[in-house]
Amino acid sequence: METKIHRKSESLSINQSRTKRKQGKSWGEFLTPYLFIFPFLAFFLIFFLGPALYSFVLSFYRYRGYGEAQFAGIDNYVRALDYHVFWTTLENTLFYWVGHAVPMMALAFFLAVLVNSKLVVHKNFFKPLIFLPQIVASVASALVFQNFFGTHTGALNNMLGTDIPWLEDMDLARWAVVILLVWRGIGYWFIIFLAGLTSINEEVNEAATVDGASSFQKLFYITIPLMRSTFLFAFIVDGIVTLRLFAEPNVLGGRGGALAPVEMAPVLNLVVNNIRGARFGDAAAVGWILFVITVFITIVQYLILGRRRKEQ
Amino acid sequence: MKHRNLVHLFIALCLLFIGLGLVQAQDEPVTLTIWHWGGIDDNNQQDERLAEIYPELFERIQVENLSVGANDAEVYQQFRLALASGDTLPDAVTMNYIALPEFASAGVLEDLTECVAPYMDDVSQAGQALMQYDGETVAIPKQAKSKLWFYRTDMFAEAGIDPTAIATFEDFMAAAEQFHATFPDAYLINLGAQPIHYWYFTMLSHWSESRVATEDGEYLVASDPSFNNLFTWTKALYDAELTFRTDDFSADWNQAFADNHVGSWLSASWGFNWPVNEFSETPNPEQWGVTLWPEFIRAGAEAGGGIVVVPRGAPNAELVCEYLATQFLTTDGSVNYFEGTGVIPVTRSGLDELSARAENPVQPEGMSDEDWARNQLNFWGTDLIDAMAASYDVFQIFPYDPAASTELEILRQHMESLLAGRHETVQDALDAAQADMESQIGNPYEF
Repeated sequence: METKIHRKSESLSINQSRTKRKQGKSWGEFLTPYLFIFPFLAFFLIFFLGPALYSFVLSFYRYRGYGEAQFAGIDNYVRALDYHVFWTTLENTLFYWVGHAVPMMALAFFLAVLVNSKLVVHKNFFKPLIFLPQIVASVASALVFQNFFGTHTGALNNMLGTDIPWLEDMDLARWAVVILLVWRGIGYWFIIFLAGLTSINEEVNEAATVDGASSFQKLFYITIPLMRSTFLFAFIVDGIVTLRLFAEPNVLGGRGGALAPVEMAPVLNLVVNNIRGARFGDAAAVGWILFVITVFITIVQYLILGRRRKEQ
Repeated sequence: MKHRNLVHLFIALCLLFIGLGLVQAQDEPVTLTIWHWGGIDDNNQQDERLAEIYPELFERIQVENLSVGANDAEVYQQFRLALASGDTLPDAVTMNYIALPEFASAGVLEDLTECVAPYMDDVSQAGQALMQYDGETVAIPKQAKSKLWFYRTDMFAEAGIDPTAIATFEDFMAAAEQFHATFPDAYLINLGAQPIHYWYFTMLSHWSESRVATEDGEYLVASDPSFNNLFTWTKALYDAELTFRTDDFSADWNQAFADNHVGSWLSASWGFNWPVNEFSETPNPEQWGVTLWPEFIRAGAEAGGGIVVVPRGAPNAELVCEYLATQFLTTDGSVNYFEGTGVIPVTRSGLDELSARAENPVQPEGMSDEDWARNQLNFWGTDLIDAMAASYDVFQIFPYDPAASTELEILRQHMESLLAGRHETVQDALDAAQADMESQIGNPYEF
């Protein structure tokens, strides 16, 4: 009891001293940090949170962008979930995500390990070279791939001596998108993994070498476990970006300004089509469904990869 | 000087400056803001040339052409935003006729009946059709995208095909077969597994009675014969393997012309030297001819055509209408526009003028030989103007409703499924398309 009272009086005196310190501050000192973060806060509230909340409200209305909006309850959500195109495009999006993420991450990590090792000389030559596809605009790279995969005049078919309809057969076209995503993404994640590798304390590897560990053992028992935080970041960020995929499939599969066929279209096409058709309530509803799916997938990834990290 | 006199002098000077300001303000030309998509260099050049022809008009106005999007859909989106905010309305907006029903039915466009009345006698039937929606005059016609068939005269002659003699779909199939038999590496037309978006309404516009839905919201896609024809013929052409398997604007498309794999193109008049730029790259540019579409799908238009509308509440509605009418509905204005853009006039007198010039085309001073080779009048001679004049006679616009863009997406999706074999029959595809329209759009007129 005595101890409790003593602790209470101790915490009271600490609070009193804090209050005194606060009272001693001038208004200028008090406001300065808030002024520094004000531009971000204002930008965030006006250009992100405000429109996001507005679109959430809009998702319960039928609205063509001007005139009066009509309350529609959850009709827009029901209509989207009841539309087979939504599920087809969602399946495509998940295919693009799963199809490209695993090979891209594996290749990017492999290249990062290789460039970080003593096997590769002229590291400063290879680093920008591998990063190069990332600096090409996504639309420009998709246009290049459109010509690369052309059925009759494409470089790939010319090399193979075939007439494979890479972009006309939708099953093949989806793989063409995956190849494009892998090609574009490797450079970025290569740099991230390289940064992760250089942050690993060299002494750990040296100690393992002294203990007689082989290169593979060091990779699998030291490097990869210590890189789990980087992998978690990579998979989560890549997942979020891929679920919002738009340019690559549409440039590869679209013709004359139209969007890609449904069989290879990502979910975002449904949002864009609704906006083009002045159906803003429907567009907002699809956008929010996609948001929920993105959050769900992120949490699942975090639980799987994050738990393993804790176990380590 | 007394204090009171100083005050009087001050007031007098103020009044003088205000007066001078008003005079100056009256003399200053009014700025008209026009929204477009894509580049605006051509529009600015047209205005400079138009100012030379109509200096009096351009003493009162100056035109600010703004590109507010990469394509027409982005312009509509900007227009909706402007309508929502209400205070950033431009004086005029360029659009395709397919978008007109949405805005006209919402009552947000200015009635232009009085403004265009003096010009109407000279406006072709195609131009007049483009100006109307639901009986009201709400648009200035910029370009009638009437249906034209571009073809290789040498290949057609060698295959023994007269394009003007093709009357039925069966004739067309027979011609396709004959063409491919004569040239085993070539096909009459190209058609891939994802037909280009303008294929649908360009075909459907042939049937004047065709429409997607009634104003009561009853969909006709599954029952109207025109939709059945569109799907049946496309499927038959595709399955017969008598077309070059690629779609317009695909990676293989241009090269297919250059390599003599495709003998013709069912298209429209798009101006801007289309398709001269494409064909002049082919080995035999002089061998291209132009005629009307085959008789069984001859009438109609692609997306109606290009128009300019004036929003209700536009800052300078009367003045902008005068400017637009001068640009597109006068002989000199419309011919001037053709010279800069290749867009064929919708005026009768403009067509006559071009027809006369096409008889004996003269290379303008300062025009390079390369540009002259691609000049519409030089490239086609009288063929193009004659074909355009004839196509205006069969010009008609599909009765688009306010949900046309969504309807088109649904039609595309089920056509592609039909061609890929995911729908067993044409009727299955049409039933599925109609079901999607009913569930996703509802009544398109209660948009």
